[in-house]
Amino acid sequence: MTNPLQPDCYHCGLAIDSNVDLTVTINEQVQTMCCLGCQGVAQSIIDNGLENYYSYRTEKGAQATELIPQELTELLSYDIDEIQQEFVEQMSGAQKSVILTVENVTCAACAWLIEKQLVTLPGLIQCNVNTTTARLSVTWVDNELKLSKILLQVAKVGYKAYPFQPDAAEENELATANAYLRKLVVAGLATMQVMMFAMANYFDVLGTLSDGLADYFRWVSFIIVLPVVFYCSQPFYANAISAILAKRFNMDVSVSLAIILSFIASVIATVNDTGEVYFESISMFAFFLLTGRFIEQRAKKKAAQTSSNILKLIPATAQVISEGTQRTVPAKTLSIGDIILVKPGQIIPADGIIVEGNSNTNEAILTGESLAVIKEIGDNVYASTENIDSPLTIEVSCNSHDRLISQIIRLQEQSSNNRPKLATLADSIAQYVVIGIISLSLLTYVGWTLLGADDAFWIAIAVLIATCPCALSLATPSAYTCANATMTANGLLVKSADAFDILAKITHVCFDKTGTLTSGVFKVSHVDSALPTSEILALCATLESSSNHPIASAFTDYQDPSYQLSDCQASSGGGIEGMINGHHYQLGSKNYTLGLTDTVVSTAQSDQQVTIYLSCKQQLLATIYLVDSIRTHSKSLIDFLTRLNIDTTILTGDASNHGDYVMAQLNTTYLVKGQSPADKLDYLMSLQQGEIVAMFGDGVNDAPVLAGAHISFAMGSGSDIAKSSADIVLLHDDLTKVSAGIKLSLKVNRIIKQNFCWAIGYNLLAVPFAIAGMLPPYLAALGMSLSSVVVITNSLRLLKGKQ
Amino acid sequence: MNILLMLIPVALILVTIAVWFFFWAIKSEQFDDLDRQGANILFDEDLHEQKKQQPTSPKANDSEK
Repeated sequence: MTNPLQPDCYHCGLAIDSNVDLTVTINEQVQTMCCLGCQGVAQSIIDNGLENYYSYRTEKGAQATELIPQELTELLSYDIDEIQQEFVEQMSGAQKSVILTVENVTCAACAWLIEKQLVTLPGLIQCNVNTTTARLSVTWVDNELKLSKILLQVAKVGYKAYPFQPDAAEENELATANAYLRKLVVAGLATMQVMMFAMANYFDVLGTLSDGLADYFRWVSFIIVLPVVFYCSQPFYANAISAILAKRFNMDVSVSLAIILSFIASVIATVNDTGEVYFESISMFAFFLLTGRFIEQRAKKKAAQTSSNILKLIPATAQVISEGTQRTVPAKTLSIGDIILVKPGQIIPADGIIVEGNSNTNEAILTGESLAVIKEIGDNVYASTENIDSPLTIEVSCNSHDRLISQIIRLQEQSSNNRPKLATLADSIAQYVVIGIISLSLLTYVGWTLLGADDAFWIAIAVLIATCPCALSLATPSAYTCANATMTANGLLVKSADAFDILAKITHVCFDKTGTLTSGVFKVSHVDSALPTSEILALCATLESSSNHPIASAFTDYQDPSYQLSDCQASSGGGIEGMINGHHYQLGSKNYTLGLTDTVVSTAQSDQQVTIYLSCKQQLLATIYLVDSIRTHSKSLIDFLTRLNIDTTILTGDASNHGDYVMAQLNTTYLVKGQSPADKLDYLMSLQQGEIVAMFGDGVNDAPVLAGAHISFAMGSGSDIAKSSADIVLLHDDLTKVSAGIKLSLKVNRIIKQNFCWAIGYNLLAVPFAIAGMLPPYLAALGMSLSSVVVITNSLRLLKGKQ
Repeated sequence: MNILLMLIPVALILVTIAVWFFFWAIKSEQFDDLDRQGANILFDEDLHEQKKQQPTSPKANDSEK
């Protein structure tokens, strides 16, 4: 319940619940806060004299949450040397340096706040926050300060800093972007200089320019153009050579040809003092193309940085028990035979066999099964699955290399190497363009020579310049870059360059079930009881409030503060019991709640639902049905795809009937269930023989299919390996954005085709004049820039969907 | 017009110097965070205050500039 008159939280801008009364005095004014987290953060900002944050920030902060004890222990494990090895750089002496990613850095004030907060720490050498990349770089003296202390200090002002796994592509993309920027600047400055001299020639209609001066201008232009041809244009040559070595043509082949041939012709003209020079066209051409490439590269760099930032490096540690004592060690140092303790709520660090305790584990991430799996002594458990309700002692059974998850990762690497390549629209058009340009120039040369013209060579060069594919080469990168910006604004992080091209052509879409089409979280579907439903749910919520079983989360929305829980006890595989307002309640399986001992478990319950029972003094009060709820937008996405005549398949690792239920609800074309990661990949590969396939997934078990599909989407809440395998990451898990993305890619395709039509149309228009020998250099340059501007303006229309 | 013979090489040298500075700026990461520096002037005053209060960590302040 919110009061319309009540102001929103001063710190994060969220609405404040009417029963919350928290305030902080900021700049002598009492400001209201929505939660203890925000209040704590605001108070510590004020206490440290950093009120300026509130005066100068341009965006509200993110809602602050207090660190839970588990997160605190996680922070401490960042101090372990073996774990630090992965991301900390050892400087001279005892100094260490690290680059962290910080969540929710939105404006310069955030950066300032974090830096000020850290500066006061003794032992800190240097800290700097980059708001563009949302990264914090710190250097500190290790024996005076600990990394966990730095992270905690950042947390105090409401930000979460993490070490991250740098995307393999990131460093490369950054270096390439900087290289393009350097080349762009050189080409730009050179164009300006050359254009000055060219202008003098263009406007010399009265012939007032003396021969000596005109010659001087040519030689100066020649010198200026040298770096453009030999330095700035290198990337075009490199691309062209690799294309030719692969026995195909791309746009860069024609670009390189145009640059090199017109340069050679202009040099001959300069030396022999005959014919036209095209130095200004060369440098302008290079400048335009580099602008396109630079902007494209910057978008790629940004995508690589964002995708690195979401790959948080959570320290994998394990509690090893040896000779009666517990030690925390990094998970990768575990070896066969080690005995480890895994507490409820923790991620199991290694594959092993249970030697003590029984519990439920959540294996959805590896198998796609939404229900918890009961584990007893002697059962196998797997690394990266979660232990749910009671402590387990596990004997490690294999080295890190042989773990189930490592096998899946190997499969993923294999499939990403074997991924089918689709030729892009631009490449297939480029083939014809290159052949067209070369044959046209040759024909012109041969034709004029046969006619006995002396300047046949110069006319052929003019044809080459006129057909120069400047606008053509800008047609796709400009459209992709604009579309990329729109996609990012919509919460879709596009990582691969040809995503739009493929997305427009898909004929089949495969979905993982758990965590992708469904939320992977249980929700109450209905309640059978004589008592009011709200009362039953409040009782359940109270009982489950202290549990971290996945079922407990189904009830969090129903909590009622008037119910008081005491003497709460959980029984593994059974349920939970406790005293509420003086009565004893039990919630769990039928046998547990009714005190039965019969081993025959009722099979009446259907697989898509989990049925639990609430009893008071072993009298059944209510039967509650829970279901792994389908995401609200799954249906609209499947409907959208069906309307486009795109087939849909649910490709799930879960073998239960839940798949049939989801299929019936969503009306997908096919259902393939009970698939191991390798089965999924086989199914996908056989589909890809004839169809263009998109794959959606979130779990580790989806990673190989995501890597092998023509195009793949990972949920933002999914596993890191899924996100790093996918081409597109759904940052907010909102499936409706996917249909917007597909619509956009269809539009991108349309715009690219328009761009090609315009660019080729212009070239065709100019060609007759060039063949007739009536196209002076300045007209060629003018036409080239005009058609480039038209193409880019057309591409800019793609930014319209951006919010 | 003879002055052109002299001035054009001078202009070229200036352009070369400009390019050199630009390369230096890219190398020293001046273009890595374009959003941030515009707003920094707002906080400048406090940095000096902080310096007086925190003479123990002058290095940290220097590096922020």
